[in-house]
Amino acid sequence: MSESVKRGWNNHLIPWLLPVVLITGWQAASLVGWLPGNVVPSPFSVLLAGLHLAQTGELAVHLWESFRRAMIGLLIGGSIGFVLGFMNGLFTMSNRVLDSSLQMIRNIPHLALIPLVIRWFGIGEQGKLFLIILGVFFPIYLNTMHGIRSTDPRLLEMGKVYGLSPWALLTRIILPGALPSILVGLRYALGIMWLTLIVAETIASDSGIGFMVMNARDFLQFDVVMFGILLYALLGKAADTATRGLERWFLRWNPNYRHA
Amino acid sequence: MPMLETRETIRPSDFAPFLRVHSVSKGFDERKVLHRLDLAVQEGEMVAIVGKSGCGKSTLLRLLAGLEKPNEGTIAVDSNPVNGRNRSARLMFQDSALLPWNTVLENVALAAPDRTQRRELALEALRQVGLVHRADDWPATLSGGQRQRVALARALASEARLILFDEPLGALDALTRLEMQNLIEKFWRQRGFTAILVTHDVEEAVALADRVLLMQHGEFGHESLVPLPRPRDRASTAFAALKTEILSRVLAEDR
Repeated sequence: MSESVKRGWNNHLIPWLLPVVLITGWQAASLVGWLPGNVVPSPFSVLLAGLHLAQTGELAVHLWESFRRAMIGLLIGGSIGFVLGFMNGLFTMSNRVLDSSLQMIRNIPHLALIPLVIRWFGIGEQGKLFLIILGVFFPIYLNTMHGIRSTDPRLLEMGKVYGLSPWALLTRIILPGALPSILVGLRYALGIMWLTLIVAETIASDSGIGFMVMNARDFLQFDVVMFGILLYALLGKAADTATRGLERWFLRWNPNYRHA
Repeated sequence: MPMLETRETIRPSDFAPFLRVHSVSKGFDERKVLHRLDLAVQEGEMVAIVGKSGCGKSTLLRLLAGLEKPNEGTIAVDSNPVNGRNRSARLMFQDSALLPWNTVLENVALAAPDRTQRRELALEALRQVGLVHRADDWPATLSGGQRQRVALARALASEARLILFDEPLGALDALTRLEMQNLIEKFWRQRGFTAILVTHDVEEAVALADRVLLMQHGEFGHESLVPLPRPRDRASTAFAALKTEILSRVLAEDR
């Protein structure tokens, strides 16, 4: 095996070392009886619970429901955040009208609205979407605005001198310049999106992973509870990997991201 | 190009100049930067403006490019007053101002006037500055000198009639600067664009320009014609004498 291949393997394997050791230790502790199965189920039983859910088709239904909710919320909240951040970054007037009000709303933890949200929307779909939209809106709004405001004035001047149209200035200079910041906002938003989803589904729901977990708790199926928690971790990790991929592609011109 | 040598005998008063700056003043808030400037430049002329930093050289270039408006006075190209952006002018900045998210080729193609031939024009300009093999690279992978060469290629590809150089070589090392000066002179002689070169390097001004204008406190001071044949021999006594004379004027301005 050549040096570089060996190094590649090492780089891919080393991050997995600690989780594997922990899970092996956990399984061993369960086997010798240090961890009682009705409090902390063993990794093996969690795996079996997961396989069972997958077989009955329940897993796919709940996973899809949660995923759908998260994505619709992200799409709506992210779009509103992007458009408003974009406007307030470009135009002083709209910034003056909107920004301080938005900053006031931002300082309310959106999960504190849950009692009101249940009163307004009941326990249906809208309430959960409302919370996710509100949660993902701010990081995208703030980072889009910041990205647009920090456009390099020298590049804008260059664009003007070289006769670019306002549209070309926007698409070739302002937006690409704001993109690193927007993607940071997206990563924050994804974190908040999962958190909000978990809380919203746990409190009031009839489908989704949160519902699956709460339902299992009522039946004392702690292996399913544990499996649900692991699912959240995996979904979060998958979303993060996806954004890193986006960063690597969109920011490939930037030496800081090329080997990230 | 034997025609080029005769240009030095043309005086601005002979006929309507290509570029005319008439009684232009510019200030920011209370601070006066330019004070009733007059300047006439013939088509194809290379004029250098030297002066200490803060004397208003760069502000004049920004006015000529149409990035700022004069408080008083007019700027005209071919007797047409410049209103807003100066369409015949391109500005070359001290930092290359390349778009980091566009490849070298895309950066150069940005300037090409003819949409259908953008790629060809850009490739040709890159070939001329000797960077066609880096066409698909990101600007971040280039050295400072290479980036300025790309910026020069961009100005060339735009086929501008007037190129404004705002200390374009100030941040480069001495060797690269010499190379770039030769490159700029070569293209200027080939293409016959009008050039205004702002610099604090008197040697650069004497090496490249037809005339050297001294700027102090927002006004033009002494004007020196450079009647030396091109390409100029920097080791010649005439070159050294002219350089010393202008340099002593720059340094003496505070007295």
